[in-house]
Amino acid sequence: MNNIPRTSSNDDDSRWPRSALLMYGVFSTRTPAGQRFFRRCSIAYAILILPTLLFLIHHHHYVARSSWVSHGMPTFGHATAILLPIVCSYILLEFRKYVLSLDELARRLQVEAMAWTYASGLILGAILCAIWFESLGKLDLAWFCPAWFFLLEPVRAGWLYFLSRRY
Amino acid sequence: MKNDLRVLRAKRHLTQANLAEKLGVSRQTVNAIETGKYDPSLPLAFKIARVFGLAIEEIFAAEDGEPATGN
Repeated sequence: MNNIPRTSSNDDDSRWPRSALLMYGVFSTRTPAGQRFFRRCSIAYAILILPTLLFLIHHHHYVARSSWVSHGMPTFGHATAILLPIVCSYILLEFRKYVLSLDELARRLQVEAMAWTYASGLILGAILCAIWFESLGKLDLAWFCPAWFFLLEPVRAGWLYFLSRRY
Repeated sequence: MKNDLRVLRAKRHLTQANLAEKLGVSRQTVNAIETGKYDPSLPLAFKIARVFGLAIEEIFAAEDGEPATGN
C-alpha cells in the first residue's frame, strides 16, 4: 500500500468535533438528527430545571412543615415528582431515536459510553453515598436520585469524547 | 483486518465525504475503516464492495491471511 494516491487534506482531520461531544454528548449538532435531539432536549430540560430547582430550594421547608403530606392536596412537590419521570423518560426516548439515527460506529461509541457511564455512576454513587452517610449520618435520596441523572450527563459526554479519540 | 479502501477510493477520485455519503455513514467511520481502527459490520462491508464493484475479499483481508488485491 505504498502507492496511495493523495486525496483531500481534509481527510486527515477526521475526528468528531470536540465541542459537540463535550458540551452536548452528541457527535454533531449540525446533522438533522443531532439538531432535533439538541432542540427537543433543551426544551425538556427547560421545562424540568426551573421547577426542580425551586423544589430543591424549598424541599426541606416543605418536609419540615409536612405540608405536602398532611393536607392531602396536590402540591409543588407532587407536581415535580410527576414531572421528573415524564421529562426524563421523554429525554431517554429522544436519545434512543438519536442513537438509532447514527451510523454503526457512532452508535457503538454511544452505547459504549453509556455502559461506562453506568459503571462509573454505580461506583461514584456508592462512594458519594458512603461519604455523605458518614458525614451526615443519613441519606437524602429525594433530591440525590433525580440530580444524579443530570450529574451523569457530563460523565457520559466525557466518556464519549474519550472513546471517540480511539478512532 | 486490513483493507485497500483508501487506495480504491483515491483511484476513483472520491473523498472520504463522498464515499461516506454513498455508504450512508459518517466521514469519521470511513476514516476509521481506512486506518484499520474499526472493522465494519458485514452489511456495511457488502455496501462498500457494491460501491466499488468488487467482492468483499478483494477489499478486506485478515491480518494473517492473503492481502487484499485492491484491483
